[in-house]
Amino acid sequence: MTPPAPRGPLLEGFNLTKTFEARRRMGAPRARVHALDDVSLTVAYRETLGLVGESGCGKSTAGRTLLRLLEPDAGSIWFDGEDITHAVPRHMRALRKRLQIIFQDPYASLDPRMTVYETLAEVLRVHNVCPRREIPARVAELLDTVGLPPSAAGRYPHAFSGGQRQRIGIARSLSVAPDLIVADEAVSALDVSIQAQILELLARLREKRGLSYLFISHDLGVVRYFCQRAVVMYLGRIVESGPVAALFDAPLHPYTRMLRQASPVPDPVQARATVQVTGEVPSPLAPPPGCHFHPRCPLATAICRQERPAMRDAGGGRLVACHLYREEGKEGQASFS
Amino acid sequence: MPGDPVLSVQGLSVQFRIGGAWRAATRGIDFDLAPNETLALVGESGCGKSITCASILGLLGGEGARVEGSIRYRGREIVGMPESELEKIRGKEIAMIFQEPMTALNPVMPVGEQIAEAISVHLGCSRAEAKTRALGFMERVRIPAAPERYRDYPHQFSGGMRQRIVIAMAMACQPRILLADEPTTALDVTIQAQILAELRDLCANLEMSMVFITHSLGVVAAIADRVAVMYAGEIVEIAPVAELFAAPRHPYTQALLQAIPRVDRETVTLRAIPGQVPAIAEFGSGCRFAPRCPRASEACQAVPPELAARGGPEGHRVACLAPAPVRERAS
Repeated sequence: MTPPAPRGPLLEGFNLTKTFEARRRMGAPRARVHALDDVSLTVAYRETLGLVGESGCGKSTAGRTLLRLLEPDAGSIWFDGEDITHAVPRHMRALRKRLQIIFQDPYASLDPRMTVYETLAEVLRVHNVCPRREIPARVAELLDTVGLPPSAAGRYPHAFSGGQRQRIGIARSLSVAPDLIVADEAVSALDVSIQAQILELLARLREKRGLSYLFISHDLGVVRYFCQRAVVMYLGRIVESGPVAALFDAPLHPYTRMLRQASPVPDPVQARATVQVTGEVPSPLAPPPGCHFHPRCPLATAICRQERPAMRDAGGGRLVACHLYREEGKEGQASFS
Repeated sequence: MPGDPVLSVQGLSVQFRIGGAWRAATRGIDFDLAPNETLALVGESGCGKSITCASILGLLGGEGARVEGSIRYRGREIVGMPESELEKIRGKEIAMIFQEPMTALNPVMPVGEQIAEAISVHLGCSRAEAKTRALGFMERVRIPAAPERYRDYPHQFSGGMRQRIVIAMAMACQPRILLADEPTTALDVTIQAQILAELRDLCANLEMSMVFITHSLGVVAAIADRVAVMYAGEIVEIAPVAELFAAPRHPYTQALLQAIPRVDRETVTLRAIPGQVPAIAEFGSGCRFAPRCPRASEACQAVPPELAARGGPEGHRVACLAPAPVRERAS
């Protein structure tokens, strides 16, 4: 079933910039990594937005910054029509009920000395979700929602498999009835048969509770299946965004095309077709000037080496940051000159 | 398959001592590896693919593990072979690469010297000659500016480049078989695509066979000539790669293919496989997939089904009492 149509922005980031100081080598000047370099993105109500890219592209930093788990150096964050960039901690705590995050390794975020019941009850208590006497019933309901047996309540995290732990992580994030969940590689560590089960659960929650997701993943197949739109990042910048089918069937940015061609597909004919994949992501400490992708780009020209490409509207809800993108003739027909 | 197999595995079973009892992690593994062939062992966590691979190198033994059955490398039995004999085969005749290249690299020795050392140990050639050969292999796996990087240390390389160095080291002794255990799993997809292409080229040019272990059917499609699908310690289906993807017969293989969200086309419904892989202590006596199988009958619970052609071509065998019918081939 397709989720209901989005209606307006829920979580928005405008021109977000975030730098980290790199560890200093002896005598060398302090270097800074631009983890986010002028990143703007919007998750609409009831929308699932994918955020894709390779290791170190800034996708996890983007997710954490949007939740204000990291403070941006510049830019602003809006949630449900309110500027939360500088919201005070007390207010942020109230907002955390509506904004949740689940991680790749739920084991790392679960207290090994607390039973599943204690973990979930604690969240319900801290956030005053319900009267104390209702907590046992709420915990039972949460376990049922995520497909865990009632007996799970008395057990410790180590007693569960990876997929079950992810269900516990999801139950914990649902305990406060959020509007939006940031899922950071939430299914990446799972075997495919289990991955499909967790995606099914996340999709059911989206339907029943009207949830929005910011779905961070390196797996284009999962993003195409689970998300409506996706944003592609490379070295701290957004290079392209758009509806998933158009984005992956007819990429506009050469990097999206490379990523798409390199993504494994279970089809021996396609998988062995010659792919144009060259080079590696350069060090984020010294990103190339101009378009960060130009050293690996088969189409790069002089301007690509000098000027940062602006984000341009490509029609059909698509945006692309490439000097070589040209609109041709009718709307929707675009190609490289 | 043309030529005698370089490797022939028959009735391989690996048992571990768990809580005082011997439990079989794999059961009745049978496969041959032909010269120049790449066989993929694919399956989910705990299916026994890595254990199978480790037993080929004679790495399992000692108090806690028991290996039964037969593994013949060019006619010589590896199971029970003395350590001194195994050492002559490891690295030189059968080499192995792993998911994490740093486990195979010495962090305080320049990479070029590590490759050269492997060459001089196994081939007994002079230092100068070893260096020349090492450089040749660094270039062969496309490490840019190889002569300048010969004296660099592993930490100065990216993950993808480190994996290339490990591959160069494995290739340097020109083994007949390369065992590759998830060598691209930790890498980004653009690097993975390059490494897979290079492994394909190397196998073709050096006339080497490869056993490639992976959990990803997408990677299988890119690298393998033949595929063995494993589940809970057993091979459930084995077939040439095109055949396996076009006409899978085992319900597990079919379910696995339907559980993969694909980037190349719209997936309307993803079919999750209900339940989970049984733990080693919970293995039943019958088909181990039966509890999750939509086609399971009472007969499936009783006796383990044998890997057999079951009406299909001889090269496509399936361990299932109710396999999908053989698909009529067009033309």
